[in-house]
Amino acid sequence: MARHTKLILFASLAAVWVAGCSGGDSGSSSSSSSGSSTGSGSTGGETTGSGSTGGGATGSGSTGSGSTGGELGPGAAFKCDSSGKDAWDTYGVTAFVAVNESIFSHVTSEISANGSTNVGDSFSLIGTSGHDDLPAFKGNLAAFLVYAYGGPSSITYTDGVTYTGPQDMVAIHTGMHITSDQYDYFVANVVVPALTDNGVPTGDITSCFAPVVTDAAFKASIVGH
Amino acid sequence: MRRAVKWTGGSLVGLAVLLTAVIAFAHTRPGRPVLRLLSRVYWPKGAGCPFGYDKIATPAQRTAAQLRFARTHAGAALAKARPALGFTFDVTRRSDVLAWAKANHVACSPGANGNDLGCTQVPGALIPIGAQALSAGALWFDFGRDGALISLVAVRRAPTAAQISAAFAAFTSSESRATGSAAFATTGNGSAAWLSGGLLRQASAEFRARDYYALARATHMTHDYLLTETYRSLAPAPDAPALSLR
Repeated sequence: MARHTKLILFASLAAVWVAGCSGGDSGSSSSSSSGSSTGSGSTGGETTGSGSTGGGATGSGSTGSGSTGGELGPGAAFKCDSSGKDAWDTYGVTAFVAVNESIFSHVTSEISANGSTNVGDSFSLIGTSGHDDLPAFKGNLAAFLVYAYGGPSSITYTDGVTYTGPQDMVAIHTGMHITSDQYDYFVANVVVPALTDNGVPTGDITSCFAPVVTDAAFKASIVGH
Repeated sequence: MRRAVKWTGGSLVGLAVLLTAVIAFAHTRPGRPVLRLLSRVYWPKGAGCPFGYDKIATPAQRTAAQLRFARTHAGAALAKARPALGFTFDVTRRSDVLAWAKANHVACSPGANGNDLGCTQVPGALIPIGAQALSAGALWFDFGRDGALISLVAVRRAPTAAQISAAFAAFTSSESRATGSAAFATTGNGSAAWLSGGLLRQASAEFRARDYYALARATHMTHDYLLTETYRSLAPAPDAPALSLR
């Protein structure tokens, strides 16, 4: 009897733990939750994982793997002007890899210019004890972007490792005290240039990329924690 | 023997339950402080986010970064002037900025938010751009190895496209005069009509001189328009002018 009680208690707590880590906390405003005011489009539909149907994506190096869940990211609800499809279905894997690499390039440029000014120096921690190495770091960011913009909830990145897209943005940013000005600076000086550098037209930035990063709930999941 | 195994197994299960309970609680809203504490204990330099904003470089590191940047971004000719919102590169010191802030009731935090010195809610009238006084914004200062100003970033806003467009035009005009040349690179369109056409529409202009660099981006955000300006000294001026503060 006592053993059964322990097992039930353990299972219950484990369930709470898993829910909390996966954004199930109703107060988290995590990008992976469907509580975003962008309208997450989490209709329970299965993502196929292929994704790269447009934009001439050939899947060089990185592939979208099978989705591990039915939830769609918030960007799935927004259609690009150029295609009438969401960003993932419009641009596909090659473009997402390119934009992801470009984000790193712009951050590196910021660091080169300022040391840690404006973007912090967490990048300098990559590969150090207790932190992701560079490929893992890139893979995690890519998985998040792919998921957030309508792609599968997990991907296999260029390093051959599978990464999960839905991430608890509040937990990740807790303790960093990121301000609204810093967030907006990052969007204006890293995100937009990364998109334009890779040939994403202005109309598509506005229609299918901007709604996610300018969404108040998404911003709130990063700012002020 | 059997009793010892039972006792050990029970203890392990109990410990697992306790840890699970703590971590589960840490991921609830009331438990956020616990999560923060755990993060500090196990990841003292920040956990995972690539854009931490919370670390501060040393003056020597900033000077090294300044030199690295100069190697790839310097123009050919010396600038005629090196505008920096009323502050003076290679002359203005942290104590000067703090005195200016105190005199103008501006809140600045030394070392806050990843910058050497960050000032928030700076009234637009204190840092006018052309004829425009934009909404209050942030100023992020960095000082080099000798303690003098080497970089200044301004982040400020305007409620209308017309205001941000005029401010952007004032920036490009001022920088053209200062560097003696047209913009090194531009993107987008700085007109109010174009910027107002959609979210994240953006215009940028970059100016390069041998000893000076300036970049501005005007961006359509959700509820307003954002102007980010970056001003950098690329090399100490040989005949730096006297301290000039508003």
